[in-house]
Amino acid sequence: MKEMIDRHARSVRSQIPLLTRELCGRPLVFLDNASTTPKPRTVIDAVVNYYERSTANVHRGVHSLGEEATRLFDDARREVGALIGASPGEIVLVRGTTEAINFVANGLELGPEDEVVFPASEHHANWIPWRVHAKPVPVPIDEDGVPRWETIESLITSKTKLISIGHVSNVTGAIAPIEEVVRIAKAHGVPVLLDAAQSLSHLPLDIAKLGVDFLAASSHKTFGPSGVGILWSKKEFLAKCPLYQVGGGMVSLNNDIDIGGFIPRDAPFKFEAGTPAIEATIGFGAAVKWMRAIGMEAIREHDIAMSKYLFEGLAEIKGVRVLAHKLPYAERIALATFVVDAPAMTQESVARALCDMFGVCVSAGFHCTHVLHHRAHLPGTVRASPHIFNTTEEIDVLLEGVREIAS
Amino acid sequence: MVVASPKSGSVRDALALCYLPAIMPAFDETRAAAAAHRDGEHALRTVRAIRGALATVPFYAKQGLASPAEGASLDTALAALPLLTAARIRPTLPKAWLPEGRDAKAELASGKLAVVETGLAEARVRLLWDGAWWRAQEARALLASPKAAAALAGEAGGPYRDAVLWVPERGTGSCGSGDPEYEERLETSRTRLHLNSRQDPTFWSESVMTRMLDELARHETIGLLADPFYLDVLARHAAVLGRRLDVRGFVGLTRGLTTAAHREALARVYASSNVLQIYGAREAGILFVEGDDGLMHHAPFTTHVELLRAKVATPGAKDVALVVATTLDREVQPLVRYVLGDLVQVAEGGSRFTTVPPLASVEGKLDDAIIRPDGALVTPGAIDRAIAAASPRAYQVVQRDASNVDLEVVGGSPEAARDALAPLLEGMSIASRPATAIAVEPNGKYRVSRRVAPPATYDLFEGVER
Repeated sequence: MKEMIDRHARSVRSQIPLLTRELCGRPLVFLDNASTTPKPRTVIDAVVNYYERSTANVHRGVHSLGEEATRLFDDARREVGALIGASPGEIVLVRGTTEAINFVANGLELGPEDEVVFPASEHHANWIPWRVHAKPVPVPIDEDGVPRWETIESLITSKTKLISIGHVSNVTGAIAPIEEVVRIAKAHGVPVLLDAAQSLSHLPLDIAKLGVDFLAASSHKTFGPSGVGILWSKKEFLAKCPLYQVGGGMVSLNNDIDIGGFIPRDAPFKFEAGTPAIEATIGFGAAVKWMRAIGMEAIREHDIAMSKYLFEGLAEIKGVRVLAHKLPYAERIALATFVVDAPAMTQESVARALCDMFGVCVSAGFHCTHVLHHRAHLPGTVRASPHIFNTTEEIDVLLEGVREIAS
Repeated sequence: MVVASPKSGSVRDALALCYLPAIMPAFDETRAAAAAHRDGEHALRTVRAIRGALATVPFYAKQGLASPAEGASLDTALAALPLLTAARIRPTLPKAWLPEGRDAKAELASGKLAVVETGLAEARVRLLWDGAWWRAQEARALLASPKAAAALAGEAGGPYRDAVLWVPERGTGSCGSGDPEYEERLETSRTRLHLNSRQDPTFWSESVMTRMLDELARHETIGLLADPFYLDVLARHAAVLGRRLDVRGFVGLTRGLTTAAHREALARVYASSNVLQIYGAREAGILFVEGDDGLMHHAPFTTHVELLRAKVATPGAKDVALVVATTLDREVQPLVRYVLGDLVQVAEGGSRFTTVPPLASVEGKLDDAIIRPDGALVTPGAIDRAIAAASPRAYQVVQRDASNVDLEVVGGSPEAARDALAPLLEGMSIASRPATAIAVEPNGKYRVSRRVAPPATYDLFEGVER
């Protein structure tokens, strides 16, 4: 297992410049991928290349640079579509997962009496939009923050307009039982939104197999730049979905020169008013290409083995409570959220100590899941989230640090 | 609990309730309460504190430092010891700092001790924090100011109660946590109110600032201890509303460099005669307090301070020194020759309470000083005095490289500020421009000057070996 993890990691580490950094004289151990991932050289080069050689606006330049930029930009959308088995025409480029979810909340034209069902473990991005646009109906969670999926059907009523679930929890790393949720939803005629922020770079995804109606994800957790993400939906929905922003670039015909009004372009362009995040999108495409070259199956293989290594290591440390540690490795990604029993040290302070003493970067706090933490009676947690480039040696450094602090 | 109870209102009661370290002389109940007194055994006490720290604290024991001999002179003892920096403290855990025989886990679990952080980025350190010790030494140090002492004695319109306005200790750092209410911002004793719960005052709403002004009255505030950076924002809001700060005793400016603009803003809503400077550090306690002579006097019993004089020219500032502190009564995490990183102007004249000379001013951080191409060191304080002639609301000087600085100016003329600064930064090019706000650090505060390159080192000061 150890050899396999390290083989995968070593095959890609040299491609990520950030990993050569040192912190306080120690090699950087980057274990905060659930927040954002470091960027491979190919992504950095793609962005720099656009700036240095092809800077121009897209879909409007008639000169060579405009054509080059447009080609790079459109190719990125195609690349992202290929990752999830979707047509480029079904992918709306947005700023990130949060905007994608808000897009759906707006597009469904929900009213205050309409209900949206989602797990109480969800990130604020998949909670607050339902509070604003509809009536939130949280699925109960257990003491470790894992949804009690068996209760979901009982929460569906005639007013339920959507089930919205995080594919992978950003706190527990648990993978949601999509097939089962979709089966129940379809039985009641309710659409399903999949928040794939944490899964897009960890799991092989196929829209057709998933059977969901919407998928939202971000570039920056997928080795790409921040500022861009996707909303995938079926063409039928996109065709009838109301516009939520209008302006240049999305108009097919401006009729105000005679009869008045305007005709928007077809989806996805009608939703992409204004100049898009061109360089970020090109970088996103390069990131997806980089992941596909590694292979999503290889990433998942590393992920499962890494889960085992990480959780077994943490389990041996006295004074550490790991959330959802009983979940089978096949039902989770390599993401461990835990509490270190270090009296009078906040979990933020634990995370800073890991950085200052061991060069380990992890998250700490509530991870935008205050309800989960409240129900688990936790005043904050530490989250370690490895990815394909992390070695077992790096996990050993984390474990050494946690052991030292907990002692 | 460190301050007078409402009924007695006396400093004697206050100090009797304090955590009084064994090395502090017994409080003389017969003497006038509201005054600090000279520590005749300061040098002896310092040597003893060093011996105690080196003998009992694992951090020092691990280094194998030779303990000064019993009866060694203070100068001899200090000269034999290395300087301690934040970089050396940062990679240590709390257990390295608790004297032998004490149970770190139990004391941390009981709440007697906590782990806190201070400083920014490379200067950040984790500290073992004894809240009772802090409040005790703070109350003791404030006695060095007759005005503060009178307030502590209940002679400023009521029993002593204070409010603090600095980087929030009780507030929101993450989304979704909400703002704590008044009761949640009161310390257990109910005598100290934390006004601020939001980090970056650039985004304080008018209702938040009005709430703070109202709470000063509601809390019947006698003393306000404030970071001048935060108080500047609140004072400007009060001025717009035509209100004054409802603080009956004094305002102590602490934890940051007070600029001329800060003073001017505060003067519009509070009597300057009741404002005093306090120089403290979370790592070491209150070091200096402004007395009635306008100088900052070393507070007795908490620290010994070495003032390492600059070996290079310091245009715009006289007798500049780097502050090195040794703690005397900090039982947990005692610090021996700790470089605080602050620069000061040493004043002429003798010390009132210890052997440490008084200060004319605190000049800001060494890390924020500008280093000219000729090697001269320009302190943030000197920059502020120079730039004050242009009267900007705020500004920031950033040294980009050996001979270039950028100057951003808020609420004033960039050209006038540049011209005012030019004589001080001889041999350097200054690029000035207007700004609507100064970029803040992660803790919500901004620095009036900072240096990207080249790094200044401690060896610009006497007594520091290369």
